[in-house]
Amino acid sequence: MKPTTIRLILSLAVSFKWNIRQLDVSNAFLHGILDEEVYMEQPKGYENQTFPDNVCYPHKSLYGLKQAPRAWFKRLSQQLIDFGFSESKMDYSLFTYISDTLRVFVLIYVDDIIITGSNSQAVHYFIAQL
Amino acid sequence: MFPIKDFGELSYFLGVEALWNQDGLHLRQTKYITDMLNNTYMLGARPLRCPSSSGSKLSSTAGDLLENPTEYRRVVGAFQYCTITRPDISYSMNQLCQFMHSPHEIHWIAVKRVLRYLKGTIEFGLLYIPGTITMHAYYDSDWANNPDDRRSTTGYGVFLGTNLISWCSKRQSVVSRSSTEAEYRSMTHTTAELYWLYMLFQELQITLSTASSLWCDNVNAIALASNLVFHSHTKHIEIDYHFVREKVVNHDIQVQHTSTQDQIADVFTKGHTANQYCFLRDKLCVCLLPHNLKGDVRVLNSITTSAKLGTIKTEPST
Repeated sequence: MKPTTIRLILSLAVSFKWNIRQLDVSNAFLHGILDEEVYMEQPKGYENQTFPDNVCYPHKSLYGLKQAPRAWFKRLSQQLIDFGFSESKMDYSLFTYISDTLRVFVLIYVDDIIITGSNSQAVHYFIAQL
Repeated sequence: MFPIKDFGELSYFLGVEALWNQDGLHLRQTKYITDMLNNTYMLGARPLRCPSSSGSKLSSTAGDLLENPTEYRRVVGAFQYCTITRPDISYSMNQLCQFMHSPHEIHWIAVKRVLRYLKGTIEFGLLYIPGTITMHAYYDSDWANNPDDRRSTTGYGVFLGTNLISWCSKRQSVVSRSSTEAEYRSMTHTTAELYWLYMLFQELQITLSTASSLWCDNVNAIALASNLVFHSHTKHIEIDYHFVREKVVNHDIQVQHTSTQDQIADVFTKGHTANQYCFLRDKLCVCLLPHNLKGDVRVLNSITTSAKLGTIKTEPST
C-alpha cells in the first residue's frame, strides 16, 4: 500500500464528511487457503500414536509459512470481489465499490482494514458481511 | 466470514494516530517519534526549530568516517517511516539517506539535528480539513546542489484542496547543465505523479472540478511547457519535454507561475533559516492539532515549548 493512497482516501473522506471505520481481522493468516502442496511434521503433543511417522497435509495456511500472506490476501480480495468490489489497478490494496447511489472505499494492509463510504449504513452492512 | 475486531472510528492505523476535531482530521506519529527519541536517548535534548541548517550541503567525503555506521543506518531508517505524516523532514531525510553506505561524523551531527527538531515537534502532524476536490502541485529544484556530483534536487508537493497528499524530495538521476533543465526535470517528475493521482481519481470515479495547476517559480520552464518553440539547447531533454507538453495540450495540467517566496516546494529542495522554514511548514499544513481553530496562537506556542518527555501540558486558553 502506498502512503499516498491512504492520505488521498482519508483526505477525500474528510472532504465528503464520510465516516472512516477501522477493522482488524483476528488470526488473519489462518484464513488463507493453500493452493500448493505443503507438508509438515505432526505438531508436538498431537502426534498420532498409530502413525507416528506420517506427516500432515494442511489445507489452510499457518503462521510461519511463506505462502501465508499471499494466501490470506487472495482469500480476502476474492471475498471483496464477490461482494462486488473491484481492485484498483493503481494500488492493489485499494478496493472500490461504486454504484449510482453508493461509493465505498476499502484499504487493506495485511489484517488492518480501513473502510469508508458515502453511506454509513451501507458501510455497516459491508462490515457485518465480512 | 472472518472474525473481525471493529475499532469503530479510525484512530490508530499503521502507527499513525488519527485525531478528530470539529474541523477535520489530524494525522500524526507521536508515539512512533517518542519511541524513536527514547531509543536514541534524545528525549531530554534541547529542541531546534529547523531540521537542517540554512545553505548547508552535506558532502560524502568531508571529515572522519563514523566508527559505528549501523547506528546511523538504524536511525536514518527510522526517519523514513516518520515521513508518512511528516513532509517537513523529507528533505533532511533524503539528504541523510544518501550517505547510508559510508556515514561520516558530520552526517551523524546532521542526524542529531533532525532528532532535536523532532523533539520539539513531537505532536506535529498533517491536518486534513474539508475542501474542494481540485489538485494543485508545487514543484521546485535546487540546481547542482550536490557538492559531490553536481546533480540537482527535485522537490514537489501535491495538494488536494488544502490537504497535502503526496510529496517528494529526491536527487535527480542525471546532471543538468542549466537551472531551467533541472527545473524541467522536476516538472516532469511532478507531472508523472499528478498523472498517477489523476488515474486513481478516474478509478474512484471522482471528477476533479478543474484542471490541476502546477505552480513553479521558473519562467523559462513555463515557457518551455506552453510554447511550441523548441531550441537546440533543450534537445537532450526531449522526452521530458514531450511528456509534459502532451499533458498541457490535453488540459490535464495547467502550468502557472508563483513567486519564489511562496514556492512551497522549496522546503523539499534545500535547507532554510528557521523563520522561513516555519513559514513553509505552516503552508504544508503540518501543525499541532488545533483545539479550536479560533484558538490563541500563544497557547500553541506554549505547548511546543513545554513539550517534555513526550507528555504535553496544555494550559487552558484564556
